Amino acid sequence: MNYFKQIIYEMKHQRMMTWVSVSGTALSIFLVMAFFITDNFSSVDVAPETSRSRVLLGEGVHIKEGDRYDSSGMSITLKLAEKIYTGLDGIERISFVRGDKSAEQLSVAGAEPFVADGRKVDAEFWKIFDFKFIDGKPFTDSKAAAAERAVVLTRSAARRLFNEDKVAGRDIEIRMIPFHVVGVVEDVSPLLDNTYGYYFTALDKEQFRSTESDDAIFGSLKVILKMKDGVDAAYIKEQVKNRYDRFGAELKQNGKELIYHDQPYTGEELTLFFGSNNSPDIKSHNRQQWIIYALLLLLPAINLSSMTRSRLRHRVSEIGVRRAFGAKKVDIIGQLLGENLLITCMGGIIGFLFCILFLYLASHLFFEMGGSFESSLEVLNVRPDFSMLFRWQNFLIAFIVCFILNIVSATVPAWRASRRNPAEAISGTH
Amino acid sequence: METIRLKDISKVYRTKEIETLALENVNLEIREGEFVSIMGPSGCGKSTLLNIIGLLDTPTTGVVSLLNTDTNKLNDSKLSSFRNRNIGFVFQSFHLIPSLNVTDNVALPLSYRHDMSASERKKRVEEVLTRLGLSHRMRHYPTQLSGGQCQRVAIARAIVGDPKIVLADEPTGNLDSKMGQEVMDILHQLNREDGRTIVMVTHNEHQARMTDRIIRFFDGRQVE
Ligand SMILES: Nc1ncnc2c1ncn2[C@@H]1O[C@H](COP(=O)(O)OP(=O)(O)OP(=O)(O)O)[C@@H](O)[C@H]1O
Ligand SMILES: [Mg+2]
Repeated sequence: MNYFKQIIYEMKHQRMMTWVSVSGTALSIFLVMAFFITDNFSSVDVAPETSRSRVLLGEGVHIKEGDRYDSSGMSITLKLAEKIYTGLDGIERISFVRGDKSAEQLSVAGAEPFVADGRKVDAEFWKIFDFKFIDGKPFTDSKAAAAERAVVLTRSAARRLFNEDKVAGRDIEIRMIPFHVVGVVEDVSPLLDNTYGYYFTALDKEQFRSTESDDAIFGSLKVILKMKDGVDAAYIKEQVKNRYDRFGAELKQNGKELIYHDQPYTGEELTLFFGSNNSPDIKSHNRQQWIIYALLLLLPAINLSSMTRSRLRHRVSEIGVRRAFGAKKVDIIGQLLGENLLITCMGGIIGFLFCILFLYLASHLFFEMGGSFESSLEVLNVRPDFSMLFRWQNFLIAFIVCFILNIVSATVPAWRASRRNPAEAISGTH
Repeated sequence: METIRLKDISKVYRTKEIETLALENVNLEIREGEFVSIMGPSGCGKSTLLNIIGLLDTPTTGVVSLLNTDTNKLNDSKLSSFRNRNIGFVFQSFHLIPSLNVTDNVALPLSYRHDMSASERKKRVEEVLTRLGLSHRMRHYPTQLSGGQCQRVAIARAIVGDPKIVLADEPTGNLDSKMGQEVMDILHQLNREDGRTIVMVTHNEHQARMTDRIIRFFDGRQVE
């Protein structure tokens, strides 16, 4: 507690040094946390994607015909999707959705028409995800919903069209075609790749089935799988690989080679942008992450370390005096590390808050980089959910980073200071 | 009984360019309760001797024994607690910690005593501060005090842990004669009333003559 008073005094009386140390730490924490938080958006549970660790994406095919032909794509046909993904052991629910979002014009009499991202989903989609309905209900029969052209709007879409939220039962037009609003859901963050959209229309499987040719492989669908609780993704992958092998054997007769790329994908894998003709390589990704973290930490640590040393230079005789009056080496090291940790934590808190603020306000910068938006129109307005930013994991990581920064930057100077000959330290010779 | 016994002490400082023989074969015994002055020209090794007695530095050869303890055998941690309990230091330039107020400066030695309660520490600090007439300066910082007051705070710090030995290296060197006399009076009081053994380095003949014994050094050797 005396140390606390003392460090406050030191900070007040060595303003420049304090300023540099604190802002250096803040910058470092800012960078590390911005990196960590965005990197982990893919695994944070937030409504409506409240069980992301249990959701897998079935998509992507890669076909080769000798050296002549090499083709791959993310979206697949319904036939392929069913062949590979239905009836797997350990799966609780399976949903078929259109692989891409489509940007269409929404309009209603008396309102300015606008273009927004839409999704085509089946009824199971609403059961896998945890959408909050403000009004109305999800559709439960995909075929019927498609026939009557049902649409679920987000709150923002509803407001934009009608200036109010509770608009179930009203009619709108999508690309000039009349649709019937059956429900209104809470807005979805664009960070949630499986569920983000401005409006949702119904997908009728039969429609797809009838338009697909028998041997088509590249289509426009993807499959969302929800595993039963406690099932390992590897177990599902293994089964899917077997299906690929079996189907691959069929294709082989036509001289085609089907290449398996670790489908279906976890959310974490899908953030890697590996393309449809490659496998996600989590290991090398993680290795890269570690290198980046190490650099983000090491560079400021070196800088901080020299700050710590020069702060200590002013206090050589104090350390000698403390030693004279009974401080052991460990007491000195403990004091200096403790003081330094206080400074790092102060910088850490500032950096962390700025980081959250930045991620919130400048979200469009890095969301758009993913390139997954058909219409960037609304993206600027959609913020990441605060529950994705203020997670205890983030605080813990920030603290651990501060701690590491402290240890890396202060241990050596503190250890050196503790080893000085007390007599020389007091008189301040070298 | 000897409180301080130095046997065949030599100290050589080695730097890259030169070797300095700061002390040469010093043998010295100081009895319990003695007030001893050490005198000699600049550079003759007085501070070196005091640092060795105070266990702040180790002799190149020889044995330092304090209060019947052979200190050569103590490791760093034991040396630290030995200093903490048995030795109080007073320096020429006070060496108060600028970022701590008077109370915290004085409490410093007690903060390294883990067997003492916070209330006991507080009581001890208040006692010494009152004794040295500093009770109205407890919240002041060193920069807000005069030189004489600083040295009184430093003396309070030196005795708060109730050490048997007080080592003072030119304690009046930075003070005018009036404040210097004040400090000398306090040291004599500590010697007389508490029975503390005091070793003081001084350049002041008059002050030295007031003490029990004068030890003179020249070029690292004891001459008297
Ligand atoms: N840390 C050191 N490294 C090298 N030489 C030193 C060191 N400390 C002292 N000396 C040398 O040892 C000799 C004795 O120094 P010391 O400080 O003990 O003298 P002193 O008698 O206290 O002098 P003064 O009256 O000026 O304080 C001097 O020649 C000094 O230069
Ligand atoms: Mg000296």
